[in-house]
Amino acid sequence: MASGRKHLLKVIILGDSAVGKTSLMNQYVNKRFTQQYKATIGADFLTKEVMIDDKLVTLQIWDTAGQERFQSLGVAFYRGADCCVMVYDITSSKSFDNISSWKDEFLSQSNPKNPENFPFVVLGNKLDKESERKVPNARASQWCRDNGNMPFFETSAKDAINVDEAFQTIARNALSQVKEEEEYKPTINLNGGKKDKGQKKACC
Amino acid sequence: METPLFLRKKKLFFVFTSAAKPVWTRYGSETDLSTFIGSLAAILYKFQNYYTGIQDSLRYLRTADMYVVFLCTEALFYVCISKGKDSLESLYNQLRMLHTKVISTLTDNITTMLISRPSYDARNLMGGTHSALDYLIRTTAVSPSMLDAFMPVPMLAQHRSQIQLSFKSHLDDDLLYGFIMTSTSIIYRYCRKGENIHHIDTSLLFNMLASHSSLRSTMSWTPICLPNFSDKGFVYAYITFLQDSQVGLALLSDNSAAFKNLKACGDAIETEIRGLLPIIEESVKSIPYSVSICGIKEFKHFIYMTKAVDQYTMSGFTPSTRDFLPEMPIDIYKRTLRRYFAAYKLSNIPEFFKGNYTKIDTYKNEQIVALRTNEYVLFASLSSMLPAAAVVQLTTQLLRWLKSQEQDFFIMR
Ligand SMILES: Nc1nc2c(ncn2[C@@H]2O[C@H](COP(=O)(O)OP(=O)(O)OP(=O)(O)O)[C@@H](O)[C@H]2O)c(=O)[nH]1
Ligand SMILES: [Mg+2]
Repeated sequence: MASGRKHLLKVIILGDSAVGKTSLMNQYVNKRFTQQYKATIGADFLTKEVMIDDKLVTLQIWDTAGQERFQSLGVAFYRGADCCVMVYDITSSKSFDNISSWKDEFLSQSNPKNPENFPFVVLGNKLDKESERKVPNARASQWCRDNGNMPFFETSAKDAINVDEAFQTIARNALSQVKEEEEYKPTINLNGGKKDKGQKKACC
Repeated sequence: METPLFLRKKKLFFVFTSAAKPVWTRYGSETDLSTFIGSLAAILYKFQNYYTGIQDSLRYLRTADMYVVFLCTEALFYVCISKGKDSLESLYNQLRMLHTKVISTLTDNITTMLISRPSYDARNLMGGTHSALDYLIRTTAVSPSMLDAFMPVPMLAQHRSQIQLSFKSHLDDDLLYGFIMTSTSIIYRYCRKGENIHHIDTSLLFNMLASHSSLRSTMSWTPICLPNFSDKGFVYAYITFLQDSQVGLALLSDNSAAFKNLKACGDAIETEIRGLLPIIEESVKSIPYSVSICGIKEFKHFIYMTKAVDQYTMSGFTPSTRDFLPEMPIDIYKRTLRRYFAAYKLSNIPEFFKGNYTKIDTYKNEQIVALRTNEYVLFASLSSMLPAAAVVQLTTQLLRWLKSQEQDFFIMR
């Protein structure tokens, strides 16, 4: 049973509007990129199957709307996430500063069992726009180290830089959480309804 | 975007966790559907957001040709998308049965587990149950589920009491419930003194028997959770079939170590009822029986249920096997069943039901009678040409006949 188990992992992507969340997901799943910006309304979903070591894992990726920050889908939406990906735009300091409030919001809404060990991954996107960079790599790395050693990647959804690598790490970290889970044990015997075995009527 | 293949099916069912992780789907693979399920969950969440603090959730959405029905339990969500003509009530009944079946497979510990670990991937636990769930959907679609009852095969009362006697003389303290049955029909049902068996638990046992042919080929000792008895754990069923026959014996215990006792008990009962086998087989073959046995030619179909024994009997169609008599083809039966549902609906509202309820609905090609009292429910279909007075008089006649036959139609205490 254990080896044949199929895994489905729920991955939530958060971050300010227009940092490239949808673009990253599209690049990863569909290998496509478009310059055109269409704000996500509510949420988008895509799935992707990946091999992690010898395990086939399905990622159910929930791309959320950055613009809806204060009217998000809320608690229910984050419920049962296996990994949270936080994205900022390296050309926008504000989007990076907001990462920590995204983290707080996620933790307070989803209320995971071990908040200290919950797998987050941070992505600094639009690496192809190096000339307009506002967030130094060192600053972001430092923040990730200070926040429980979150894996950190600088990516470009446009040029497909580090996208596969980032999602591979996302899948691996999400899966590591699952492995630590106990197995489901449904077998609880009902302790026979009767009290007095002594009075047992002769049967056959 | 092109419509995915699975969405073209007429009736879809989905089970997923409150984190939108798929648990079971009727068509397509759970993996392929996980984005679709995500969207369904997002719709539910959105409504939960609008109505926070209110103990309610989205119940259904309706389009010109489609119902999307939601059933939210504590930790599991059930959705049906139906393009058929089924009524909302019958779709709800199906979703509730689906939930009961999931609990019957996993026990209610799955709820506790999912509440403490919402990310838990429960899909793997449902392995090997697909055909049973699908069978459940097919049978519940054609059963008069609003009656909260099951249908035994008709049998002369004196024969049935012989079976009863053989049970009573070989009782074991470990015996909780006992059945003489085929995989689709119930001949006799025993219940430990002071306990009751819920008709849903009964149908869960039959769902298991009908959908796992292996249970019919050898003797077995099988765990099953009967949620109305206890959703906390399993009871155990000793199942064996009489040699060279379709007739079987199921003995259930809440003691997992009772196999030897129940087997001994079963052997003894088996020996005693062996002589009745031809009679039992005859009565199994007697359903579906023709509506004409009531001797009133104006009736096209009837269903009669008595509350005292939570059993019903009906002419011309058996939901468990989907066998029907030529006088009532399945599509016509389904339409009549929908009309029964419609006629019965108001009786669930206290303002309309004060111990007595009668409704006669006239359609182009039939008249539907629904009678409900605290003792019984009667549904019947008659020709649309009859005047109201005749309908009333014939119905009284039918009722009188049914009452006189109760002893043979039902398993009496
Ligand atoms: N140059 C460059 N542009 C990018 C990159 N990723 C995204 N963009 C552009 O940034 C804009 C916003 O991208 P989206 O992916 O829609 O942003 P989002 O984070 O999903 O935004 P919301 O849905 O509003 O939350 C689009 O015009 C994209 O083409 C990148 O890596 N490099
Ligand atoms: Mg977007």
